[in-house]
Parts: sequence; C-alpha cells; structure tokens
Amino acid sequence: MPIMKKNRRTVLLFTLPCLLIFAVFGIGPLLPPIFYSFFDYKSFKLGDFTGFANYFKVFQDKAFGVVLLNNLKLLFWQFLIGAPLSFACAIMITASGPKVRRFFKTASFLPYVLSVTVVCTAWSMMLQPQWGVVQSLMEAIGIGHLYRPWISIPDTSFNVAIITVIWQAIGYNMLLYYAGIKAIPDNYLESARIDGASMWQQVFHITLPLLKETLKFVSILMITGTMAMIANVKILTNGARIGEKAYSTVLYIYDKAFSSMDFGYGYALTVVYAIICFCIVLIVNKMIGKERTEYV
Amino acid sequence: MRFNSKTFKWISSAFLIVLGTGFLFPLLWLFLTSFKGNSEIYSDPLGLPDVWLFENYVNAFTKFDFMKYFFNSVVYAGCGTLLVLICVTLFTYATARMDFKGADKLQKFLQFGLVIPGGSTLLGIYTILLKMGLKNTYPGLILVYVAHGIPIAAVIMYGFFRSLPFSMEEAAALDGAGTFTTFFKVILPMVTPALTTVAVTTALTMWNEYTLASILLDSNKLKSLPIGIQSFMTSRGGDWGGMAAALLLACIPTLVLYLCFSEQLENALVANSGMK
Repeated sequence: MPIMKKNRRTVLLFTLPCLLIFAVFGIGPLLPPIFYSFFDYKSFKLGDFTGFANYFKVFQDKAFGVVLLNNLKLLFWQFLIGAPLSFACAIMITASGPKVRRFFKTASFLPYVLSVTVVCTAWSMMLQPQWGVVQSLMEAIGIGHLYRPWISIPDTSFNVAIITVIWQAIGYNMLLYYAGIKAIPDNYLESARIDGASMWQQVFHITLPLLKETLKFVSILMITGTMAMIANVKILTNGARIGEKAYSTVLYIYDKAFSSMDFGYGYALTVVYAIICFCIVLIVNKMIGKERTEYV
Repeated sequence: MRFNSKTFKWISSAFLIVLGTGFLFPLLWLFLTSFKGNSEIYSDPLGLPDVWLFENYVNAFTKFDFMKYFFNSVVYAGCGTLLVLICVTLFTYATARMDFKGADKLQKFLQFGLVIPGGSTLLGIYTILLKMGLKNTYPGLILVYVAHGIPIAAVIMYGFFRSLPFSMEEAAALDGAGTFTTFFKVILPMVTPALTTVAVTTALTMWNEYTLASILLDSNKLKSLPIGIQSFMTSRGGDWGGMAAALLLACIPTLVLYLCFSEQLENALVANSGMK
C-alpha cells in the first residue's frame, strides 16, 4: 500500500497536465454530440432547440442502415474467420519450434505495424486490372476470368476493405491470444493429457474456458476497432464516391455532416452509432460469459 | 502448454510458414515493383526487375514532397510521444504510489479512454479544435494525438509503478529526499523499460495515424506522411514504380522501429490485456 501521504498541491502538480489534456481533447469531443444533437446546428451556428427531430431523421435514414450493415458484416467476418484463425495460429505457435515461432510472429505482426495508408495503397495496387499482381496470379492458375475490379464495384468494394482489416489484425490478435495461452500453467494440460484427453478436448475444454478474459478483451478491441473503420475505405476508394454500399459507418457520418454542414444531424448519427457500439460490446461480453480467472 | 503430437508440430510449422510468407508477400511485391519502370510492371509483374531502377527512389524525394511530409510526421510523432511520456509518467506516479482520495477513480477515468468507440469523437474533435482555433495547426493535432495516446500509456506505466516495492520511497524519505528528488533520482531510473515500451508504442501509433490527420489538416505544408502518400496516388497515379518506392520509403522508419523494438511492442500488447 502506498504510504506516502502527499499534500494536495503536490498531487495536483503531478496529475493536472495529463488530466487537462485528456479531459479537453479526449473526453471533451464526446460532449458536443450529446448536446448539439438536440438543436438545429448547421454551419456551426446554434439554432433552435429541436428536441428529437434529428434522431427521428436518423431512424428514417436508409443509407445509415446500409452502412451499419456494412460494419456489422465486417464484424461478422472478423469473428467468423479473423479471430478463429488468430486463435488457431496462436495454438500452432505453441506447438512449433522457436525458429518457426520467431518467423511467424514477426511476419504476422508486420502488417499491423505498417501504416493504414501503405497497406491499403499496396492492396489497391495489387488489385489493379491488367498489371496488378492478383490478376496475374489468377490468370497463371487459370481462374483469370473470375477477376473483377472489385474496388470500383459498389457491391464488392467494402469486401476489399474487410480483407485489409483482417490482414492487419490477424497478427495482432494472435499475439494477444498467445500471451493468454502462455499464461496457462503447464500442469493443467499435463493432467488432462495423462487422463487421456485428445488435443481437441484439451483446447476446447481447458484452454478456451481459461481464456475467457483474454477473449473478452480481444473482442472489445475488435469491436471498437472495426466499428470505427474509416481509413481503409477512404484510401482504397481514393475519394471516389461510389455510393453508400461501399461506405463504412463512420465515413458515412463524416461525409454526411460535412457535405451539408448539418452537424446537428451528424451528432445525432454519432450518438446513435456510439450507443450501438456499446450495445454490441455488452452483448458479446455476455455471450462469452462471466468468469474471473485466477491461477493457483 | 504442449501438444505432444509430432504430426501436429509438422503440420503447424508448414502451415505457419506458408501463411507467414503470405503475409510478407505484398511487401515483397512492392519491393520488386519499386525498382521497375511502368512497362515492365505491366508486362512482368511477378518477376525480378531487368534493370534495377533506383531513380524511382530518387523521384520519391524530388517529385513527391517526401521530405516535407516526413518532417511533419517526425514533429507530430516526436512531440506527441514526448508529451505523453511526461504527462503520463507524472500522472501515474501519483495514482500508483501516492496516497490520496480518488487516486483509483482518476486512473479509471483515464483508462476509460480505451473503450470509447473510435468514430464517435471525430466530429466532436473537429468542432472543438475549430472553436479553439487549433484546426490545421501543429499544436492542434499534437494535442489530439496526446489525448489518444494517454490511456494505453497510463495502463502500462501504472502497472509498472505498482510493481516497484514501496520501500523505495520510505528509504528515500529516511535519507531526507523530498517528493521530486525521490521521483527523479530514485523511481524514474527504475522505470526505463516501461518508458521505452510506452515511447515505442506511442510513436508508432502516431506515426501511422491517418484519420485524425486527414480531418484536421488542410494545408499541404502541414500534412503528415500517411496523408501525403495518399495524395501521391491522386496527383501522380500513373507512376506505379515511383508509388511503390514512396510507399516503401514511408515504411522504413516503422520497420526499423519494429525490428529494433519488437520486444517492447509485444510487452505493450500484453500489458494492455493483463490489466483488464
């Protein structure tokens, strides 16, 4: 227990700079949406109090529904493919020798370390028609006729964004899972193995349940990260407006607010979006279940 | 944790090697492309370049405003990281090791920043900076970056500070040291590993950041590297070799940081998860 009692002035001196910056620039930005969404707030001029008018507009906004579904699609694929793949890789790493482990850790974390701009520009170059590497590879193995300029087609454009997100996230999530797995004491699995449990049984009945907190944590990160996705779509489509089907939620909100300068509406969209994110986190946490893990 | 199956070990290793190479493939392709001229890129996308065109790299400096964007990114990431280090170290020293009411609450307040949904602050940040006259300025973006970097830095530093024995301050006090002397001469030297971890993580994040910079920076002379690169695409989209070269050049600082400090980066990840 800390035993040094400090006078108020010392404490303030130590904590104030950090607190100020965080409060103003970190928490502060949450306030305008909550307040101004109830007003007519266009071009930064405060108009009349409009109550829930902006919110009614949100619920009638079909395009908003489309972009929300896009983000949910992204989340779905992350949970269906991204997370299990990361987890499987984490397990495989524990079974592999040190050289392979080193190699894969470095290789898979590398995408995460790169800037979103580099990643998405590189991918959009690879997917270029005619000279892009993806098309060449497809032609080389005989499926060249299946190639499409996916990025420029409204229906498939967002799927490319999904791929770039997952590509960057796999290594990152894998390392988190790996840290959780490493923390499990060896004797838990030893005793299971001695009792005759197969590998699958070990993973599903011992490892996974013990990882609940790690799973929850990774899920929260995945949800807040993917719901906020805006850069990937922006860079891949390079500013071309190909319709809401290709947009992510945040990009849509941002675009809507700036194109009409109706920030009151943009704020209402923001609040609804934040509430939805929060609900998703709660639901996923409930699904994973309550368990405080402590190793004796 | 051991799975005692040799077959599994072989299959895993094979799979991981293939997947790992798959991860590296886009970078390898970029590397090859960056040395080719356009015609070769079109005709032979997968092969080694016939002629290694170093001029693509030279062009990156002369035709793209590479150095300007690079310098800006250094300013943003450098100042931002420094500020985060100073503010957070002071703050978490207080919450972790000083006895005062509300220490817990203050720390939790900062950590709350980790769960705020990313996109919900964009419009708010724009409005606040606009009203403060900080939009499209160096300090404006830096302060926003600092606010975003504070939560994760606080988690790492707090954990580390807590792990030091409290007898340190006792001993220092017995020797007659005041608060500041204790902090600077006794505690600080002991937390350098954590400081490195925070510095590397924060700098990396700020260097790579795109969204906030694209919203808050209008004028070309302030643009950071990620934003600048994107404008290369639009202004000189036809020069693909040059584009690849510029992308790789932009990667070099992050790659260097990563290869030198991969251990710290991993620690940052783990610290984050341990705390929840």
